[in-house]
Amino acid sequence: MLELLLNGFADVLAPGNLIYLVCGVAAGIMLGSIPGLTATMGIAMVIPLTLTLPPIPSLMMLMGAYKGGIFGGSISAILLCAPGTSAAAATVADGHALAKAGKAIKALKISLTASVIGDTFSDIILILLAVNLARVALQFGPGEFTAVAVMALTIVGPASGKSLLKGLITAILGLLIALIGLDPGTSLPRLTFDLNELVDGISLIPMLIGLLTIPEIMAQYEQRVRQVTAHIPPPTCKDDTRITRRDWKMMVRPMVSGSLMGTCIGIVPGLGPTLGAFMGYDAAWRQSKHREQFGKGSVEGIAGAESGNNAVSGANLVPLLGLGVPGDVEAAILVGAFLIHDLTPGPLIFQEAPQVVYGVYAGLLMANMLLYCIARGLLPMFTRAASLRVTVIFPLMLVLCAVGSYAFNQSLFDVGVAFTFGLIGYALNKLNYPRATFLIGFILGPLLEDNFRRAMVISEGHYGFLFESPLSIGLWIFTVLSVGTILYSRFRQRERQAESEAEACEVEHLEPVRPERLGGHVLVPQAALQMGGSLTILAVLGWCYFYLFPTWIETPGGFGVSAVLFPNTLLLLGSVLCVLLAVNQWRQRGSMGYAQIKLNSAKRVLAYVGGMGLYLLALDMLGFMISSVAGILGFCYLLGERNPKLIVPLAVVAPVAIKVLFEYGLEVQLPPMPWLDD
Amino acid sequence: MRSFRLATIMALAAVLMLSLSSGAALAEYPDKPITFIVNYGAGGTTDLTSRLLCSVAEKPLGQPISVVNKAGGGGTVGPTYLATRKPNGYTIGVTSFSPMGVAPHLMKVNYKIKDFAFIAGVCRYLYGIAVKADSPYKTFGDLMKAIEGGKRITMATPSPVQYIIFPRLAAATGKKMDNVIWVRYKSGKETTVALLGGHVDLIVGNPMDIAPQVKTGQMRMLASASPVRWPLLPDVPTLRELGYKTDIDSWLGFAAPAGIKEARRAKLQAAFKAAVADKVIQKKMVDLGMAPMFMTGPEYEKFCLKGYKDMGRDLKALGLSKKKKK
Repeated sequence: MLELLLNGFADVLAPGNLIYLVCGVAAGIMLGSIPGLTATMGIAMVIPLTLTLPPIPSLMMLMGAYKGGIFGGSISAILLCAPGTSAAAATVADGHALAKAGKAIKALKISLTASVIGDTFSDIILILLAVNLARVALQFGPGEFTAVAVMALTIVGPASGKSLLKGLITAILGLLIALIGLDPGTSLPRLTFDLNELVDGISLIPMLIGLLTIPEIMAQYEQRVRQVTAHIPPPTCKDDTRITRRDWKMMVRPMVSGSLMGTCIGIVPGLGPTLGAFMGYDAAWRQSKHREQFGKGSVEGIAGAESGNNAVSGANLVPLLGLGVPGDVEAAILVGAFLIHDLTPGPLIFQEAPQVVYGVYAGLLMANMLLYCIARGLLPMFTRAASLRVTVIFPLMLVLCAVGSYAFNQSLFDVGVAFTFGLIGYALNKLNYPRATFLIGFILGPLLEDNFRRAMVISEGHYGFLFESPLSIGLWIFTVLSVGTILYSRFRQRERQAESEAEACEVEHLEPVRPERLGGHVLVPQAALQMGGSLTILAVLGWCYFYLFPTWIETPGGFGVSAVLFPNTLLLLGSVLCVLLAVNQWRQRGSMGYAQIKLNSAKRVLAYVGGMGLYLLALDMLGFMISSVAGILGFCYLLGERNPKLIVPLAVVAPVAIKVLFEYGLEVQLPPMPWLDD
Repeated sequence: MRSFRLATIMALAAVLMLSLSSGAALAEYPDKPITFIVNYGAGGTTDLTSRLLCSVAEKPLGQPISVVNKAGGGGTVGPTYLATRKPNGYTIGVTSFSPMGVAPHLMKVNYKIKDFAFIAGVCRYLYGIAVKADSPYKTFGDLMKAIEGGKRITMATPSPVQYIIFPRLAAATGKKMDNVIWVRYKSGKETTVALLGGHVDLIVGNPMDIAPQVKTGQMRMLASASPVRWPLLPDVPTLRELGYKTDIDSWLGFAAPAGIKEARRAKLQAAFKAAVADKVIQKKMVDLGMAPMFMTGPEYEKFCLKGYKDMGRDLKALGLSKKKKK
């Protein structure tokens, strides 16, 4: 085997082949770093270029694009708070927090190192164990997948932050939103309001962009920038731009556990890198001695999430090469690439074309090294771009958010989805609800419901089926342990907090003081605000139960257990949690203090929301160019950037550059001007 | 302020120039690039096949065809968009059987078959019935015997289109087949995993999901559920050859919006006819799991209308069609 692998390296290192690998990796990083363009699209776009190439260089180019794409997503996650790909969603909070503290380069380097190590680890596992592991992966049936989904849902615990109740509630909201689309039992549309765009469900990318990025931009508009500051502040000392020995010590354990988690998830078909990232993040949290830093710039969190998502990419080839079954969408497109070259992925390929397999292996390992070198070279460029002034970068980011949401399905509906979730995310943020748990619920919802429904159809409705195999029993035990550790650590945390509060109270009596009334402010008791939030959610759940669901979800005869069981369980659970939360808030109403709402901020936010609506309308009626030029001018004006010498060239150059990149470089058409549409 | 206004005007002028530059003079059709709408995402079978054919068809037309993906709505968003374009022959696209004949029964769609002027049917999608290699059912006859004997059989498919073959078999043979239980999966590849893992008894799927597994000895295909044998597995008989008078037939077809001049439609039809006849392209289409064949536009329209009716009848009988408006 070693000899074959060495031959593989000889193949890969031939200059004619190496150049394709380099191109693939570089293209992948670039595409991945643009929000809305995913590794999948990168691969799909590279495929036509590879049609005429021999198998080894073309597969290498594709693998390079795949790996580069998954890392590239974290660049914009860290610098712009906008995940370039969904796999980078777990990196956003910590990575962007570090960048905001002037440690952008450090965060990028940590993310790159963790990515490359996670990737290499899973590639080695692939090379050593491909065929054997593939057999294990097949053991996962509907019963086992149900257990996996429930186990994975326990990540909600660590991802919830301060309030477990709020985390659980947003997770349930995510699960409910994931119900939109085709009924998993009958494939008839449900909750789609007769809109064709909703038949395939809400698209993940626009939702991610909306939920994570737009609230960030809105928060900036809220406080008009008095001083013109850089979006990403410059590093304050040398340690901000490198990984120090202390960082290294903190990174090792999360990287090991993240790589293991990601590899395990990659081996099982259908789970994907986004889940790998969250599981890696979760594993890092469980081992950490500095849990309070998670979400605020934790080195461990980035290392865990980034090694987790990249480790999926190598392991995904285990089912592909071992069985001929792709592990996720990206791998599915790779199958097409194999077939075009007359190669059949699966166990026989090891006999039919060993030189290709080992060429691919060598290519994977090489791609990791190249990823490291190329990305290191590109980082300063990306960082410089992100260090532009806020007043310049935020209008651009909004245009990029719109284009990114539009690109995947080339649909303005998706831009609307992104803006809507932007408002939802803003509200959640204001009321201190975690947004990450919402995403976790949304991602895991289909996995849980589909497999639960399948299990019920296969077993004729016997719940015992879920606990039948040793594998699923093991998974359930793991789930129980996981819930146990979360509750225990919450309990300990509360105890410790109580102790420190008791100490604090001795020093000074903590009674919230009503701040003085100032002009232009409205004072609202926090308790009223918070209870308003939880009761609104309760009302929405009730509305779903009494009016929405009965007309849209029903049980056609003969297709297994009741289709309403899962949705109604969610509603019931969510309502109980909301009531608990509201009661809690009522009890603590005295100690919550007051929220100051500045009227000027409120006005600016409203103007911004109106601006987003106008921009969306203009995209439809005037096409991309005119509306984006006007949009950038308008949003710059709102932010107080009124120097025409700066903003006019910006408003022209940026849209033209985006248009050229998307339409000529990527063959993604942006909204045209309707009157030119022949 | 003045310089601001001036700069704005100049900016707008530049933008207009850029967007108008694609205008062109009158000449023989086609005198500018043609836009081709694919109703599924990039990289799938339909997308790759359409791109292959477009890359050849643009030669006789003398103008490039640029492919745009408008995915979503289970393949209905593309045709919805296409139906609202101007019928001048510069926007054409995929109108495969699924959005024409199946989707309108499952969901509300904003187009009818009459809204399109069909260019051609360019190839057949293929379906087959497969079991795991170590399954006790060696032939399709074995399977039917077990079903008639009342054995509970679980079957995985991604949509009702493939599932419908068993109710059709039941109708053709006059026997009850309620013991064949449909387990829905999201995609063909998921059904493959489920079958290989032994979680279901059989699948009805496409060549991409079945042929590689048969070649590696992990699956056995019992019958082609299409009207023809699979070019990739030519030894497996069709249901009709086995004596069952039923099948699932589905085509990849292209269309322009209704109202296009007949001369233009005919020109496009001729271009795609030549593309399908290309031997190199045929080989690639077979590798992608399609059966290269040709139908003229009017023939394809007739096929869609008939298929729409049959599908509607069968789905309704199963309780799988959308509800009537209350």
